[in-house]
Amino acid sequence: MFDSYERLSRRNFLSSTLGVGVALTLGRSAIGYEPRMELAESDKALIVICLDLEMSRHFPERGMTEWDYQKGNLNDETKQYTLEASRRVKAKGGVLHSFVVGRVLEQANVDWLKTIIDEGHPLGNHTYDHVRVTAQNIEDVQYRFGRSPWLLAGRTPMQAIAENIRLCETAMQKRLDFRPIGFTAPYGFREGLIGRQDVQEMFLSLGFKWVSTKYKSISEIPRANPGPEVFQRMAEIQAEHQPYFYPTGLLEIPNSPMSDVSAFRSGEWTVGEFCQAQEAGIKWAIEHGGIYNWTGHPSILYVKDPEFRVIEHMCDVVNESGGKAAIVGRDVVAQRVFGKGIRHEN
Amino acid sequence: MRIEDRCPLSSLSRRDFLAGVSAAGAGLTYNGLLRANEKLSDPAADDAKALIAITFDLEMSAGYPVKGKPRDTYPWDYQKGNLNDETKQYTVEACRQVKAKGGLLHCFLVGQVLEHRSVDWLKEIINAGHPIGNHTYDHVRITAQESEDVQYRFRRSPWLVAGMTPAEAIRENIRLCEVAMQQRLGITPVGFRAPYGFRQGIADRPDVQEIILSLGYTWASCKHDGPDNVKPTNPDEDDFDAIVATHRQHQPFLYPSGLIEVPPSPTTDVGVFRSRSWKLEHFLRLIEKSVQSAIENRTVYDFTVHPSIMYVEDPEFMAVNLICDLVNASGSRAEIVGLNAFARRAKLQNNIER
Repeated sequence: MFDSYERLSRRNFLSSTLGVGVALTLGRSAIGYEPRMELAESDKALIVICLDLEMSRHFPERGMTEWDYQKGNLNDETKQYTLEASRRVKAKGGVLHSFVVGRVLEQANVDWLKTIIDEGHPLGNHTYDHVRVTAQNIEDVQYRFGRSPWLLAGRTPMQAIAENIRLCETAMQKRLDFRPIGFTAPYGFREGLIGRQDVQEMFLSLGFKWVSTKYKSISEIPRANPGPEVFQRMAEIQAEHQPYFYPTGLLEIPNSPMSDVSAFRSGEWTVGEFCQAQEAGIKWAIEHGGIYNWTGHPSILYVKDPEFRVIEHMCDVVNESGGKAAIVGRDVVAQRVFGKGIRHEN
Repeated sequence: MRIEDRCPLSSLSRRDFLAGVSAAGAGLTYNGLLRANEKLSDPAADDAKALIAITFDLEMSAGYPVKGKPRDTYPWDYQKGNLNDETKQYTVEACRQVKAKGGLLHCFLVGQVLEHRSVDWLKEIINAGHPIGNHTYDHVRITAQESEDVQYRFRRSPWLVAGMTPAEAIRENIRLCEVAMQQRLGITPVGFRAPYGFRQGIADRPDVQEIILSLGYTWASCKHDGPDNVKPTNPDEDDFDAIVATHRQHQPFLYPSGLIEVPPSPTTDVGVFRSRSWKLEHFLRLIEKSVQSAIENRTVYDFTVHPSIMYVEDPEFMAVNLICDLVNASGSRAEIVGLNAFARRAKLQNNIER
């Protein structure tokens, strides 16, 4: 099938010998987003700023849990935040890699997504209904299907999950004329997909060569008022969140702690404290020439950080690194790893 | 097999009961007694009785609740099953009021409703004895021959029916509604009603008839052909009479396939309040004349409306109460029944079954 690091950038495309007919089949992904693949070959730390485009339980008000069943029913504030965040990151020299829940594409208007794509930001697959890719029972696949099991009738959990991923891709192609750049798993798992060769093989069969499924935060995160030792541990845990291969050959690009869910839903951190956590992670990556792959949720951030301080701060830390780091899409990270053949995880 | 909405004993009129007892006492033949008992238990078998149905299509309606706005003001074309609270509350209360007057209310449900957080309101209706039928999962046009015509939702999101022919998508949509009703409500739908309605019903679509039959439905409610030449505003008696005259063409009948058509009687609340600009008083007058005509002619009248419209246009439930009052005032000349009774009468009249 496809994958982003294999995809031609516009520059490469123009220099290639491929014909016009092929160009027409590439869709919007070959037009707006130009992955900076030259950075994959550099020694710079690669910083990825990602947003998962979904609604989040308990936001904008605590107690709102119906989002669990309607993850893709984005409200206007979430869309506007994503659009503005993308512009701010671009203004500071980077790209913002969003991962969309496919059901968003059933909404009346998707012009905001087309704008993001046209302005050069990559967009990836986050499943159609925000399904749990490791689920082994139908009722665990997604809240929606627990309530409405007839929507999955006759399918095994694995079939339902694969179909949900494929449907998101189809919807993106049909409604956005854009093929997803990468996959990030809803929820995130402490061990990623280790021990789940079946899920790894499913991704490979769907054409993905890299995914983001692992997220393991530090232990005993304080609910509030994190001290310097917390930020130190936040930096140290980044070593456990560097890309690795599964035995099947699937590449894992873990989500780097700390997410906005941990800070603002599980915890009661301030925006300033959250910024310090991001800074600790980015600086670790800069020091080690590594990867910092951060993921937030606009449905949380528009409530907690309406002034975009977190995203602006991450950009500033990168830009103040003296050229030791760059903000890229995850596909550039994948390209670096594939190019270097990084460690395998058993 | 469908669940038959057998008429409960409580609905027997005193006159029928006494007639049955006296017939038995008079030593009628076995067949005669059977016939008498059938009349006692099934109003469909009583040719002297008008059958009146009150039916609600449980869906959201374009152009409501605030009228006069552009059609795309509301998302209902794409989210027919995303019922608002007012629509649910109106349905529950209408059922309660109809039952309090001895009747029942036959609802037809768009299956997407069953994805909502709570369906307790539907369970309450079911537990009170009101039948609920299948109105497809997404309010699809069952006669569509192009994928983009099946439903607005699939025009915007064609990936949801990718790989299916229109006929396959339609069949699956009907089937899915039934499965959802079974799984979330624990019931089998009582009958099928087609969204939209068609002037000739599905007489020219034996393929669609076969789809419905193959899914186990013996009757469907598809035909709706009201007159075009009635006034858009301020109707008079001639307009009402013109509409009531069409009810002759809206009696249940058989298609050659054996499927029974149970047409909604013109005109619905859509025709009255959205296509035209009648007032409630006009609709009530039409209803009155319709029920009276059915009683006088011993025919059937299927009053079809949408609670998503009626809670705006008739918040005091005057229409359903008027029907109940007219039927109750008729003595045993009319009875409020579910549409299964309409279908049974068609079967009996066509000697399909006794």
